Amino acid sequence: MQRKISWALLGVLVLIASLWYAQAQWSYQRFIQTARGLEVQFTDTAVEETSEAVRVRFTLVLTNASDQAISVEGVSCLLYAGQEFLGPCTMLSTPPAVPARGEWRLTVTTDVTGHYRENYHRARAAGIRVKGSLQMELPLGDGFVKVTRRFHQVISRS
Amino acid sequence: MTKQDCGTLVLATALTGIAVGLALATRELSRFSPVPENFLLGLVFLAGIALGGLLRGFAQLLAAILVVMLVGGAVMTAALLVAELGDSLLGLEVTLSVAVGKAVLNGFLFIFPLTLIGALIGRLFQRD
Repeated sequence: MQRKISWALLGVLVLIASLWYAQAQWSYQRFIQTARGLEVQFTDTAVEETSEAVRVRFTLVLTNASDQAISVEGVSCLLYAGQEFLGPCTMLSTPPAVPARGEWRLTVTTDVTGHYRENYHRARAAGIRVKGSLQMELPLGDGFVKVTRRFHQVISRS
Repeated sequence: MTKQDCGTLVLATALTGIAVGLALATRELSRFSPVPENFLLGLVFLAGIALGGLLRGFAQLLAAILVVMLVGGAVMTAALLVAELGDSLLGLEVTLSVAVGKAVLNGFLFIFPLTLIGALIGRLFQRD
Protein backbone atom coordinates (compact mmCIF):
# COMPACT_ATOMS: atom_id res chain seq x y z
CA MET A 1 0.00 0.00 0.00
CA GLN A 2 2.77 2.36 1.06
CA ARG A 3 4.74 1.66 -2.10
CA LYS A 4 1.68 2.11 -4.28
CA ILE A 5 1.19 5.60 -2.85
CA SER A 6 4.83 6.44 -3.53
CA TRP A 7 4.58 5.19 -7.12
CA ALA A 8 1.36 7.13 -7.64
CA LEU A 9 2.92 10.28 -6.18
CA LEU A 10 5.95 9.92 -8.46
CA GLY A 11 3.74 9.40 -11.52
CA VAL A 12 1.58 12.42 -10.69
CA LEU A 13 4.69 14.56 -10.13
CA VAL A 14 6.10 13.61 -13.55
CA LEU A 15 2.75 14.50 -15.11
CA ILE A 16 2.47 17.84 -13.31
CA ALA A 17 6.09 18.78 -14.06
CA SER A 18 5.56 17.95 -17.77
CA LEU A 19 2.40 20.04 -17.85
CA TRP A 20 4.00 23.07 -16.18
CA TYR A 21 7.05 22.82 -18.43
CA ALA A 22 4.84 22.64 -21.54
CA GLN A 23 2.89 25.69 -20.40
CA ALA A 24 6.07 27.67 -19.67
CA GLN A 25 7.53 26.64 -23.01
CA TRP A 26 4.36 27.71 -24.86
CA SER A 27 4.34 31.13 -23.14
CA TYR A 28 8.04 31.58 -23.86
CA GLN A 29 7.67 30.74 -27.55
CA ARG A 30 4.74 33.18 -27.85
CA PHE A 31 6.85 35.85 -26.20
CA ILE A 32 9.73 35.21 -28.59
CA GLN A 33 7.33 35.37 -31.53
CA THR A 34 6.03 38.77 -30.37
CA ALA A 35 9.56 40.06 -29.79
CA ARG A 36 10.62 38.91 -33.25
CA GLY A 37 7.77 40.90 -34.77
CA LEU A 38 9.41 44.11 -33.59
CA GLU A 39 11.89 45.82 -35.84
CA VAL A 40 13.78 49.06 -35.37
CA GLN A 41 14.88 50.95 -38.46
CA PHE A 42 16.46 54.30 -39.21
CA THR A 43 15.26 56.56 -42.06
CA ASP A 44 15.75 60.16 -43.16
CA THR A 45 19.18 60.39 -41.59
CA ALA A 46 21.28 63.52 -41.95
CA VAL A 47 24.16 65.39 -40.34
CA GLU A 48 24.21 69.10 -41.16
CA GLU A 49 26.97 71.44 -40.10
CA THR A 50 26.27 75.11 -39.59
CA SER A 51 28.43 77.82 -38.10
CA GLU A 52 26.77 77.43 -34.69
CA ALA A 53 25.88 73.78 -34.37
CA VAL A 54 25.97 70.32 -35.84
CA ARG A 55 22.43 69.13 -36.43
CA VAL A 56 21.80 65.40 -36.34
CA ARG A 57 18.47 64.22 -37.71
CA PHE A 58 16.99 60.78 -38.04
CA THR A 59 13.66 59.05 -37.87
CA LEU A 60 13.34 55.95 -35.77
CA VAL A 61 10.74 53.53 -37.11
CA LEU A 62 9.44 50.82 -34.84
CA THR A 63 7.50 48.22 -36.80
CA ASN A 64 5.22 45.87 -34.92
CA ALA A 65 4.50 42.82 -37.08
CA SER A 66 2.85 40.92 -34.22
CA ASP A 67 -0.88 40.54 -33.58
CA GLN A 68 -0.77 42.46 -30.32
CA ALA A 69 -0.36 46.15 -29.53
CA ILE A 70 2.95 47.00 -27.87
CA SER A 71 3.30 49.92 -25.50
CA VAL A 72 6.57 51.79 -25.66
CA GLU A 73 7.64 53.09 -22.26
CA GLY A 74 10.57 55.18 -23.35
CA VAL A 75 13.33 55.83 -25.84
CA SER A 76 16.80 57.08 -25.09
CA CYS A 77 19.95 57.45 -27.12
CA LEU A 78 23.42 58.95 -27.06
CA LEU A 79 25.52 60.40 -29.87
CA TYR A 80 29.19 59.74 -30.50
CA ALA A 81 31.75 60.77 -33.09
CA GLY A 82 34.46 58.13 -33.01
CA GLN A 83 35.31 57.84 -29.31
CA GLU A 84 34.07 61.36 -28.50
CA PHE A 85 30.76 61.82 -26.72
CA LEU A 86 28.41 64.34 -28.36
CA GLY A 87 25.59 64.32 -25.80
CA PRO A 88 22.17 62.75 -25.51
CA CYS A 89 19.53 62.81 -28.23
CA THR A 90 16.69 65.30 -27.92
CA MET A 91 13.28 63.67 -28.09
CA LEU A 92 10.02 65.55 -27.99
CA SER A 93 7.44 62.85 -28.61
CA THR A 94 5.67 60.84 -25.94
CA PRO A 95 5.98 57.13 -26.67
CA PRO A 96 2.63 55.63 -27.66
CA ALA A 97 1.22 52.13 -27.92
CA VAL A 98 2.22 50.73 -31.28
CA PRO A 99 -0.86 49.04 -32.78
CA ALA A 100 -0.82 45.44 -33.95
CA ARG A 101 0.68 45.24 -37.45
CA GLY A 102 1.40 48.94 -37.30
CA GLU A 103 4.37 51.24 -36.94
CA TRP A 104 5.50 54.23 -34.94
CA ARG A 105 7.79 56.94 -36.25
CA LEU A 106 9.84 59.14 -34.00
CA THR A 107 11.70 62.02 -35.57
CA VAL A 108 14.75 62.99 -33.55
CA THR A 109 16.57 66.24 -34.17
CA THR A 110 19.51 67.09 -31.95
CA ASP A 111 21.72 70.17 -32.15
CA VAL A 112 25.26 69.45 -31.02
CA THR A 113 26.63 72.68 -29.59
CA GLY A 114 29.28 74.00 -27.21
CA HIS A 115 32.06 71.68 -26.14
CA TYR A 116 30.21 68.72 -27.68
CA ARG A 117 30.62 70.45 -31.04
CA GLU A 118 34.32 70.81 -30.35
CA ASN A 119 34.44 67.10 -29.62
CA TYR A 120 32.78 66.45 -32.97
CA HIS A 121 35.37 68.49 -34.87
CA ARG A 122 38.21 66.96 -32.88
CA ALA A 123 37.11 63.42 -33.69
CA ARG A 124 37.02 64.01 -37.47
CA ALA A 125 34.85 60.94 -37.76
CA ALA A 126 33.17 59.90 -41.00
CA GLY A 127 29.81 59.95 -39.28
CA ILE A 128 27.90 60.17 -36.04
CA ARG A 129 27.14 57.04 -34.09
CA VAL A 130 23.73 56.71 -32.46
CA LYS A 131 23.51 54.23 -29.61
CA GLY A 132 20.28 53.82 -27.77
CA SER A 133 17.48 51.66 -26.52
CA LEU A 134 13.72 51.33 -26.56
CA GLN A 135 11.96 50.23 -23.40
CA MET A 136 8.76 48.33 -24.10
CA GLU A 137 6.14 46.21 -22.42
CA LEU A 138 5.42 43.01 -24.27
CA PRO A 139 2.12 41.31 -23.51
CA LEU A 140 2.39 37.94 -21.81
CA GLY A 141 -0.81 36.20 -20.78
CA ASP A 142 -2.71 38.60 -18.54
CA GLY A 143 0.34 40.69 -17.72
CA PHE A 144 3.35 42.31 -19.34
CA VAL A 145 7.08 41.75 -19.44
CA LYS A 146 9.37 44.75 -19.65
CA VAL A 147 11.99 44.40 -22.36
CA THR A 148 14.70 46.58 -23.83
CA ARG A 149 15.60 46.63 -27.52
CA ARG A 150 18.95 48.19 -28.24
CA PHE A 151 19.77 49.93 -31.49
CA HIS A 152 22.93 51.20 -33.09
CA GLN A 153 23.41 53.22 -36.26
CA VAL A 154 26.08 55.33 -37.92
CA ILE A 155 24.80 58.43 -39.68
CA SER A 156 27.18 59.63 -42.34
CA ARG A 157 27.94 63.29 -42.92
CA SER A 158 25.65 64.86 -45.57
CA MET B 1 19.38 -7.01 -3.93
CA THR B 2 16.64 -8.80 -5.82
CA LYS B 3 15.73 -8.27 -9.44
CA GLN B 4 12.58 -6.45 -8.34
CA ASP B 5 14.56 -4.10 -6.09
CA CYS B 6 16.87 -3.36 -8.98
CA GLY B 7 13.90 -2.56 -11.25
CA THR B 8 12.38 -0.32 -8.58
CA LEU B 9 15.67 1.52 -8.15
CA VAL B 10 16.08 2.15 -11.88
CA LEU B 11 12.47 3.18 -12.53
CA ALA B 12 12.15 5.34 -9.41
CA THR B 13 15.44 7.06 -10.17
CA ALA B 14 14.46 7.71 -13.78
CA LEU B 15 11.00 9.07 -12.91
CA THR B 16 12.38 11.28 -10.12
CA GLY B 17 15.08 12.58 -12.47
CA ILE B 18 12.50 13.45 -15.13
CA ALA B 19 10.17 15.21 -12.66
CA VAL B 20 13.01 17.12 -11.03
CA GLY B 21 14.66 18.08 -14.34
CA LEU B 22 11.43 19.40 -15.85
CA ALA B 23 10.50 21.29 -12.67
CA LEU B 24 13.87 23.02 -12.51
CA ALA B 25 13.86 23.81 -16.24
CA THR B 26 10.45 25.46 -15.70
CA ARG B 27 11.96 27.37 -12.78
CA GLU B 28 14.65 28.74 -15.11
CA LEU B 29 11.84 30.09 -17.31
CA SER B 30 10.26 31.59 -14.18
CA ARG B 31 8.77 34.62 -15.94
CA PHE B 32 6.81 32.30 -18.17
CA SER B 33 6.02 29.65 -15.60
CA PRO B 34 2.34 29.10 -14.75
CA VAL B 35 3.20 28.58 -11.06
CA PRO B 36 5.47 30.35 -8.55
CA GLU B 37 9.02 29.17 -7.99
CA ASN B 38 8.20 27.69 -4.57
CA PHE B 39 5.73 25.25 -6.12
CA LEU B 40 8.46 23.95 -8.41
CA LEU B 41 10.91 23.52 -5.55
CA GLY B 42 8.10 21.85 -3.59
CA LEU B 43 7.72 19.39 -6.43
CA VAL B 44 11.40 18.48 -6.18
CA PHE B 45 10.95 17.94 -2.45
CA LEU B 46 7.87 15.74 -2.99
CA ALA B 47 9.75 13.70 -5.57
CA GLY B 48 12.37 13.11 -2.88
CA ILE B 49 9.66 11.92 -0.46
CA ALA B 50 8.30 9.51 -3.08
CA LEU B 51 11.81 8.22 -3.79
CA GLY B 52 12.46 7.72 -0.07
CA GLY B 53 9.24 5.74 0.21
CA LEU B 54 10.32 3.35 -2.54
CA LEU B 55 13.95 2.52 -1.78
CA ARG B 56 15.35 0.48 1.08
CA GLY B 57 18.70 1.14 2.67
CA PHE B 58 20.46 4.48 3.08
CA ALA B 59 23.32 3.59 0.75
CA GLN B 60 20.86 2.72 -2.01
CA LEU B 61 19.02 5.98 -1.42
CA LEU B 62 22.17 8.09 -1.52
CA ALA B 63 23.31 6.38 -4.72
CA ALA B 64 19.86 6.94 -6.23
CA ILE B 65 19.93 10.65 -5.34
CA LEU B 66 23.33 11.06 -7.00
CA VAL B 67 21.98 9.37 -10.14
CA VAL B 68 18.87 11.61 -9.91
CA MET B 69 21.24 14.60 -9.99
CA LEU B 70 22.72 13.30 -13.24
CA VAL B 71 19.40 12.31 -14.85
CA GLY B 72 17.71 15.49 -13.64
CA GLY B 73 20.61 17.57 -14.95
CA ALA B 74 20.43 15.84 -18.35
CA VAL B 75 16.65 16.34 -18.57
CA MET B 76 17.02 19.96 -17.53
CA THR B 77 19.77 20.58 -20.10
CA ALA B 78 17.61 19.06 -22.86
CA ALA B 79 14.54 21.02 -21.75
CA LEU B 80 16.49 24.30 -21.67
CA LEU B 81 18.03 23.53 -25.07
CA VAL B 82 14.55 23.09 -26.53
CA ALA B 83 13.51 26.46 -25.06
CA GLU B 84 16.65 28.37 -26.02
CA LEU B 85 17.05 26.96 -29.50
CA GLY B 86 13.60 28.33 -30.34
CA ASP B 87 15.13 31.73 -29.66
CA SER B 88 18.21 30.93 -31.78
CA LEU B 89 19.92 34.21 -30.88
CA LEU B 90 22.82 32.28 -29.40
CA GLY B 91 24.61 29.46 -31.17
CA LEU B 92 24.27 25.80 -30.16
CA GLU B 93 27.63 25.77 -28.38
CA VAL B 94 26.86 28.78 -26.17
CA THR B 95 23.31 27.58 -25.49
CA LEU B 96 24.58 24.14 -24.51
CA SER B 97 27.25 25.55 -22.22
CA VAL B 98 24.73 27.87 -20.51
CA ALA B 99 22.23 25.01 -20.11
CA VAL B 100 24.85 22.64 -18.67
CA GLY B 101 26.05 25.35 -16.27
CA LYS B 102 22.52 25.93 -15.03
CA ALA B 103 21.92 22.18 -14.68
CA VAL B 104 25.08 21.67 -12.60
CA LEU B 105 24.27 24.65 -10.37
CA ASN B 106 20.67 23.50 -9.85
CA GLY B 107 21.89 19.97 -9.18
CA PHE B 108 23.98 21.06 -6.22
CA LEU B 109 21.72 23.87 -5.02
CA PHE B 110 18.34 22.19 -5.23
CA ILE B 111 18.28 18.57 -6.42
CA PHE B 112 20.73 17.16 -3.91
CA PRO B 113 19.57 18.90 -0.71
CA LEU B 114 15.83 18.86 -1.45
CA THR B 115 15.61 15.25 -2.61
CA LEU B 116 17.85 14.12 0.26
CA ILE B 117 15.72 15.82 2.93
CA GLY B 118 12.55 14.64 1.16
CA ALA B 119 13.85 11.07 0.89
CA LEU B 120 14.78 10.98 4.57
CA ILE B 121 11.25 12.08 5.42
CA GLY B 122 9.87 9.55 2.90
CA ARG B 123 11.81 6.78 4.69
CA LEU B 124 9.94 7.57 7.89
CA PHE B 125 6.74 6.44 6.20
CA GLN B 126 8.16 2.98 5.39
CA ARG B 127 6.49 0.56 7.79
CA ASP B 128 8.65 -2.54 7.53
